[in-house]
Amino acid sequence: MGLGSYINKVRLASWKEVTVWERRGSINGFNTCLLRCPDGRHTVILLCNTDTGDLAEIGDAVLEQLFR
Amino acid sequence: MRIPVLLSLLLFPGSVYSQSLPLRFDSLFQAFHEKGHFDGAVLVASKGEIVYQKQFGYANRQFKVSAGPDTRYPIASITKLYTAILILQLQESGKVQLDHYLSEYLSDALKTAGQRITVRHLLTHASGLPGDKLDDYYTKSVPLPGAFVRTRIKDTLHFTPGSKFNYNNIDYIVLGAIIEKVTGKSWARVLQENILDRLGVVNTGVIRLRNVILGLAYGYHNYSFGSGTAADTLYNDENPHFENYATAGGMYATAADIFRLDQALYDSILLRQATVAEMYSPSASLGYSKYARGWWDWGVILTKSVWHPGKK
Repeated sequence: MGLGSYINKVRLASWKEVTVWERRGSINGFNTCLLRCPDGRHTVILLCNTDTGDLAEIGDAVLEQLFR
Repeated sequence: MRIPVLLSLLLFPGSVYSQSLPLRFDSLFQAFHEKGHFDGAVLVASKGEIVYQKQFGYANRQFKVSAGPDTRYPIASITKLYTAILILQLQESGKVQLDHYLSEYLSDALKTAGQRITVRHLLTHASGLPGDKLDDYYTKSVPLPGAFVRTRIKDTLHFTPGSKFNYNNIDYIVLGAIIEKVTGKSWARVLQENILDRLGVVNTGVIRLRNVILGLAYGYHNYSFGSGTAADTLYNDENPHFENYATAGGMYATAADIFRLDQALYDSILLRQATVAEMYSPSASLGYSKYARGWWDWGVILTKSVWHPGKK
């Protein structure tokens, strides 16, 4: 845990390990996700007004493409 | 639910891998949306440049108002990132020290616990304070963090501060009380002056339940979190007093505005780089959250619990 964000080491499907600074949110149907990858200066922002998605899965899928 | 997505990427590589990045993302999100798994705004940037930005679904289903680039979304706990930045700005100006006790800043609340909890404990969810209750956000509006801390938080500790991580909205509401005490201003005003005005963003702010906020999305739920289909019924959210979440979750924003904040952290607009480096250094006692996601990675514990599904 950092100051205001989680700091995670994530292993992708390609077995590459990347550092991801994450902040997520959830209040009722509002589900949100901010992923920051300093290695590559990549950013993923997901803002949803339904709780029908798995934002971990969706964020993973985006990271896989960014680090391909 | 991760398995079908990854499997389809492996079985049908030509459909996705051969395309450019924007087209790949469009295929991806169109698929998620058609399955009923994504309604909202997405922004993806690579090397600091936006490569994909789109909105899906409805901002308001009753009147079939489509989500657009200016649709504002309650950002829930992403608010905590803004709060952390405000605290670190106060550290840079010498008004707050991260390793000083809470009691130095708040004299009228948490008089006992405050002598053992530091500002750093609050930032890293290691304070030991009792957790929040759902009722706290659905009863009377208590819009100022200071009032919330005085009236809703018991002056007690559930564990030794700093000894472990325990996610708790209260930690960040207390940080809001510190911001207000040290600056003499409401946290909303401090946010506006020290972050929003400096970024030049106009679609970010603080939610007050009674206020009409143009373009604010409505919320819908069915608790499926990726396990349902597009045909499943959605229900209206009961709206909490968002202002009670305050510095823990009381803001709204657009994806573009959050991207401005993200880039500002790289460009030293809000904080010095040394402070950003401190912000993103794992706590000495709490460390990294280390996990892998991938169905073939049997050797690593898949920590879905890290994602904290549910209310935050």
